[in-house]
Amino acid sequence: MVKTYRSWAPWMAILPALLLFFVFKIYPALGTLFFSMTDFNGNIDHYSWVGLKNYKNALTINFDDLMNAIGISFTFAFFTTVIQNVLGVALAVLVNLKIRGKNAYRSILFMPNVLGVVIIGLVWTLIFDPYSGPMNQILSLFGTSSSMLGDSKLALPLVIFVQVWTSVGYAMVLYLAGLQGISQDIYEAASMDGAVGWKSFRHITLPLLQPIIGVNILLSIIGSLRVFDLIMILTNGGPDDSTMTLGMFVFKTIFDSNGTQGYASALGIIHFLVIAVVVVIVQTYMRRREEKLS
Amino acid sequence: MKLTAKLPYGLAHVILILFSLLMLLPILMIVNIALKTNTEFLNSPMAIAKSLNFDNFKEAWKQGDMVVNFKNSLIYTACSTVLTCVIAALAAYPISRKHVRGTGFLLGLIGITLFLPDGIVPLLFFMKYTELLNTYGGYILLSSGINMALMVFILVGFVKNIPMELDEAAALDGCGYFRYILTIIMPLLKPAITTVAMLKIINVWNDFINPYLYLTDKEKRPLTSGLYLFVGEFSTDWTILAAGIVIVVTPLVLVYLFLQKYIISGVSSGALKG
Repeated sequence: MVKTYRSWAPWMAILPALLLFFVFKIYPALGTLFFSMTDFNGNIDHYSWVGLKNYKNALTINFDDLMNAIGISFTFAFFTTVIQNVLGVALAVLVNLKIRGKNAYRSILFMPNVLGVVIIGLVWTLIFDPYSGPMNQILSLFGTSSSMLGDSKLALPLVIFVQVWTSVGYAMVLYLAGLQGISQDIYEAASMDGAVGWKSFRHITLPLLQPIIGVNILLSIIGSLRVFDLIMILTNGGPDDSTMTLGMFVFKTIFDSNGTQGYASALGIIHFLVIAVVVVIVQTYMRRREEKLS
Repeated sequence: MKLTAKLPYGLAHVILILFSLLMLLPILMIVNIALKTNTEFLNSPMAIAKSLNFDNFKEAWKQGDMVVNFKNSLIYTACSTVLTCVIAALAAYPISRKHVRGTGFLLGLIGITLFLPDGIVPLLFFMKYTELLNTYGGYILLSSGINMALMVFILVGFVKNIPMELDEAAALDGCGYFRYILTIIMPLLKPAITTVAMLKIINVWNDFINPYLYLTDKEKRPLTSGLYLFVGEFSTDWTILAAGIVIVVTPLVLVYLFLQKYIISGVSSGALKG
């Protein structure tokens, strides 16, 4: 093939995207690593290198807070991931049936994904409002009441509920794409052998969906370990730090006058490492399972 | 066979209707609250609004400074979306055709961005230092750049489907590299670019944390952060807040109703590849 363009032309075409990518993605990531070893606090003229002191402080003085946040993050991520994926598979199977209105169901179930955190957060804040919120009206019919998001025992489950409410449609759409990739012939062949209903789901659908389940679980874990904007709107980490996930903890520290932004950066790196470790563990586990199955 | 299949279908409908209600009811409740007067709401929050009362919308629009916010949201969303589509298409073509060295490395780099830390501290510093903080231009660049990698990645896959012969034919006709991408490739990528544009529109319109961090000036705020701060100021008046929510959500729901095909395909292609 003849080269038909000047050698610099392709680079010029990539350059704008590359520039934006480096400035807004790579630089912030590397910058966080750099600042995490300084006592930087917003003023570039006054900061000094402190080595690993920020990390040491996070793991000694603030160890309890950090562990509390990691624990809450894990609880949040675990329940969100499990519920979201179980429901996601179930709903995908249902809307994949040849039933009337399946497109309408799909659109409605996916809808919360286009609403955005502010809307979702405010809608549920309103509904869970302890004074005049509709939820408490329903509870009062049963003669009880609750301070909802203000109750430190109830806040985390409610936040998990809202997160699942938001993203279950997303999981469903991904699983649906997976289901549509499974050939109908396999089901027909299996039904000859008597595999219908639950049996065909258990022995055909689930195994063939395995790769997508893997991707979905990984996406849910990463997503739920990172999330903090929704929590910020719903509870802002409270009450009594009961919804203070690691992401929320890091974000709060950035604007906390007690610590430096350097320290917050160190927490950001710890957050990143926690996610990376979880991802590696889950992926190794899933790969082993897949090998066992095949 | 037919008879046994009937019952599960009925059950499927019941389950799907229940879940659909779970998704729709909260939104309908908010619309309902927005239509009530404050006393009506306090007396019976759940009852259906007696009459259509649009005063709350007027109040929300006025008190929340929504004209300014609405205009800002439109500017940010439109500019970031156009900029993202053009820049991503320009980059996707050479990467997909391997016209530059190291495309494998570039694609690998794109892959790891999913795991990278957010980097708020360095970015905040960068925006302040370059005086891009609280500027339209700065925010548009930031919101275009922040998930450029994903957008390029989605398009790269689609460029592969365009036949190479077309490239050679265009080159023989003396079509320049940039003009070729912009006038031939981009129109051919229309479905993929619509998908990217949809993702971007939803993304920018809904973004909360970035405007919260990089657009602190009241005059520069988009609808989302305007609405969030509005809550702090008028937290007692739920009916007005509900009206505000309805105002912010309506454009998105309309876009979703008409273009959901692209949105849903964008979500699955973006996630499954990324």
